[in-house]
Amino acid sequence: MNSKELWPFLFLIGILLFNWPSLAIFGLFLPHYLFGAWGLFILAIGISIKKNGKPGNPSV
Amino acid sequence: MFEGWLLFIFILAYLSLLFLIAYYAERREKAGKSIVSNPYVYSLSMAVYCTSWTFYGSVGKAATSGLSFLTIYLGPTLMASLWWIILRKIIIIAKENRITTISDFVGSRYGNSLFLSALVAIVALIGITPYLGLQLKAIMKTFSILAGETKGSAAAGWFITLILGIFAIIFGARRLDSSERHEGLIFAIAFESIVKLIAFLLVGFFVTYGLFNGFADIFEKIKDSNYGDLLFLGGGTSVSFNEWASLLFLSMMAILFLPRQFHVSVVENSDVSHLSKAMWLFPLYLFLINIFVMPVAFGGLLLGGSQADADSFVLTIPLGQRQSLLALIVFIGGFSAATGMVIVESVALSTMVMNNLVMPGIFRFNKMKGFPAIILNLKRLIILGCVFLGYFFAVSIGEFYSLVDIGLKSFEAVTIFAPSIILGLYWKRGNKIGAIGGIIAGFVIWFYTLFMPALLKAGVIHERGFFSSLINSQIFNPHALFGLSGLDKWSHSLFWGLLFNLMFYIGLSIFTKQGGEEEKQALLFVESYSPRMLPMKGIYSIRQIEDILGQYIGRKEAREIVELFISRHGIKREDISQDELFRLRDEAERVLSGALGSAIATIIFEDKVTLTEQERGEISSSIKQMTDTLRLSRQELAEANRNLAYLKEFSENIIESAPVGIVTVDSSLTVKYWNKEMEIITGIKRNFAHDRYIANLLPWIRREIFAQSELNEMLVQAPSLQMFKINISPFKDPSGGHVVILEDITEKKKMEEQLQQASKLASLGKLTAGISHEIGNPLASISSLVQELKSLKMESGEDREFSSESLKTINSHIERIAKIVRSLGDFARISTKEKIPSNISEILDRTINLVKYDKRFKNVQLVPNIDILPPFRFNPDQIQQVFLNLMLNSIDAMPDGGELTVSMKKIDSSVEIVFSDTGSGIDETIIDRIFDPFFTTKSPGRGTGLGLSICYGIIREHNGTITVKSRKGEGTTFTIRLPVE
Repeated sequence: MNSKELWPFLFLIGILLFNWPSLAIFGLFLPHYLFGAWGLFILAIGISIKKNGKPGNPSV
Repeated sequence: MFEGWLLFIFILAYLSLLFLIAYYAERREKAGKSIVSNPYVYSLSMAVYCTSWTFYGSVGKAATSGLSFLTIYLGPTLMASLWWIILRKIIIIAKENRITTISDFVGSRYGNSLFLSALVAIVALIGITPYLGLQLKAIMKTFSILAGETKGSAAAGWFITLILGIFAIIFGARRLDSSERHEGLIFAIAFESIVKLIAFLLVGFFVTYGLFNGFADIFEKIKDSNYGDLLFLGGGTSVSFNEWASLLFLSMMAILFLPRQFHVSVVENSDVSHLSKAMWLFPLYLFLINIFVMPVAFGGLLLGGSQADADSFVLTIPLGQRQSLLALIVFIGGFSAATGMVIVESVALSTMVMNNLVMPGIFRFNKMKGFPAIILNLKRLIILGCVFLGYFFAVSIGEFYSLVDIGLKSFEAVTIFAPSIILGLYWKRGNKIGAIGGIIAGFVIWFYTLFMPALLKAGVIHERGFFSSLINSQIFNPHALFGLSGLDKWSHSLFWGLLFNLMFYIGLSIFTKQGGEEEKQALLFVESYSPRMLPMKGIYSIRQIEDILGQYIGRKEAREIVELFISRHGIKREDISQDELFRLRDEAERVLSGALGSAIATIIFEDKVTLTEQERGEISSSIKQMTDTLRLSRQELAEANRNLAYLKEFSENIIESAPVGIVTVDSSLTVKYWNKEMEIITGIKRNFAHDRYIANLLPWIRREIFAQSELNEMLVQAPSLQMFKINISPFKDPSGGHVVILEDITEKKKMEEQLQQASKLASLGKLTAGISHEIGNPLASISSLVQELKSLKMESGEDREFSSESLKTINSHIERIAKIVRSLGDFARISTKEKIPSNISEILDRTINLVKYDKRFKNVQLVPNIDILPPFRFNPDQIQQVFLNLMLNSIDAMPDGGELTVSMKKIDSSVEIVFSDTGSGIDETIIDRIFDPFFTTKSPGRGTGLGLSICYGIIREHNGTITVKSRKGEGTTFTIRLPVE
């Protein structure tokens, strides 16, 4: 997967994580879930950048 | 509690500290040791997103609506994952096109439209005013809380606003911007981000672990209280999933399109690679600053605070706990958060107003004395104006709304730019009219559904008359437009605003045309094409560039910029090349863009250029050529590549599937292509054949043939006795080379020979009756004479004489039969394939003798006119077959007799043989087909239709010609010409 595909994929994962129905599923533990998922999402961005080197090719 | 004057001193001291920090950063930059050009400062500067809304408003939102405050920070986190695709593209385009504001960006994308830039500037100004007001409201409120007095708070508010305005001027308009970047300002903002983070973490830690026993304790207590539903979302709570999603979307748009965010992330970016660190550092900052929001909000509620005052919990809790120092730190933190926003936002807004609203009207007065000073002072006034606009909003309308409520109105406002910017980056068809239509539609909806109700609530406007019936109607109710009810106000405004915005943008773009300039800009933006400007042959000098710059930014500044450029590039003034002059002009235009906007800067330089007519024409046609060439975008190129690859594969398949051998050779007769059929024909594999000399692979093809410039066709027999028809044609390409097509005709040739043999026998068959008569007659005579001889006693002299005469007659008959049989045998044997030196007159004679055996020949008068010719090379059997076929056809055409003239003579280097009869002739409608295989006018069983086609083939093989002239009822003439070899 190249970086041009990775970022939209990560974005969509985030949309899924931070919207219904995920929020309904984790409804009883929302504060923990939201901060936990948020932290993991930031970690995922950081790891993705590290793995891809300088993400993306020079052209946009 | 603190004295008011003491707080003012703290404020001034803090602002002075910020100024010193900014000044230090600028000094370092001038010395070439920038402390700002790194990803950490870049990421921290982006944290200007966290304003007093974060500091106070989030706590208030958490205390009233629970978790929905997180959407304001989750949205930017989600958007950060797309920064490398979207924001990076925006940064590159902005740098390439010298764009310094978001209004410039939109205007530039749509054909450098001044009108569109101005429209965006107006929408931004109106949309961001509430946000400015929010900051001032927060400062004024917290000032009042800390000072503990409400009397004189209005004057205090006014004074604080003035101080902030002055400092905004100091940070952003000390001089007319010589570059769009302000390293000092950015460093100060980064410093403020650290201050507000530390302040919030301190108060959060204090509340969570000082007043309670940690997160778990606070959450347990709040769950058991009346505020338990603050921990949930969706049904039964105050925040629906719809609202959650809408707020998430709004904050995703805000992080891109708020003017201050555009300024710090795009305009102030020094290196696009910094974005990769910012993509996770900035979300991490948001995460950290929000960790203690809920504990502080719930802690405030649990300590007895009311939801209505929740915005100030951050300050009132430490004050209530007599932690004055902590309260002061919190105030400084909140002030920091507000100040950063006010300064950056007012500088960004003032640049937009200046470049897009004011400058277009006044730049032509550049000759006026003191013009640079006028521009600078105007900019300062505009900064003050923006800040005070926020102040008036805060005091008139702001008191009716919470901080978050005010901020979200601004978020909705900047979302208006989303379609024209995001779609404008990826959709070339998006045009100026579409963008204008979309922005106006979006703005009208925003104003009607959000801003106007605020004005009504504040009493700025009143419900009266038609206006009252309009807003209370079912269709035009601002809270339930077109009857759509049940949505929260943010989702409602977002839905209609975005819907109309997109409808107008896409609809108008599709149904209206783009101008030439728009097309060019669309290509530049969507393809992120970096325009290489043509070096102009114009009469530019360093002096002229200095003069132009000096008119707008001051002579001293202009001279400094030119000197800096010259020293940085190691250029000698007296020796500057055209290319260097062009780059200096480019730098000057970039500087002016920072001061006046790119559209104005371009116009200024265009006006200054004096080109000859020819130069204009050349540049114009060059640009047109570039644009025309650029039309083939990357996607179209990829499409063209795919088509090309398909065509290449298709062509290769055709060549590989062809039932003939195809070889291509270059000018040195080296094989470059060798298809599958060649492998089968020759047994030589493609890999072996490639790059080898064709004469080595196919030695039986004569090298000289390749020297010919035209198509060459020949029949060649290989050593393996295979027969090939070879077609060699030279490439039209100047690089030379040939295409060789090899067709194995061995089987075909065998069949042709068999056919010829069959035709021969068929011809012989025609002679059968005549021949049997010719043989039968002498045989009968021989038989009779033998009988007579048997009866003789041989006693008398008479008997002996009769016997002698009879034997002579018998011998003569036998010789005649033998001759007939020999001639038949000669004719019937399988033809030789070779051309040998032969006497054509003898062949013709032989044929005539054969034809005489046909009974019908008795009625035909033969008129020979045959010259004696020297021998030459031809195939005697085949030519005899031709002569026999033609003469038998003539006899067929004269069933009642007639005349057959046979003539032969030499004409130049050919022999001409003519067969002319007085038979029934050939109809002119079919004469062109008589040489076609299987064509016959005889009834079925009387002819195969192959005779003449075989004759034609034989003559062609001899490189001769056979033609026919005929008229119905008047006879036919066949003329054969054979070259004498």
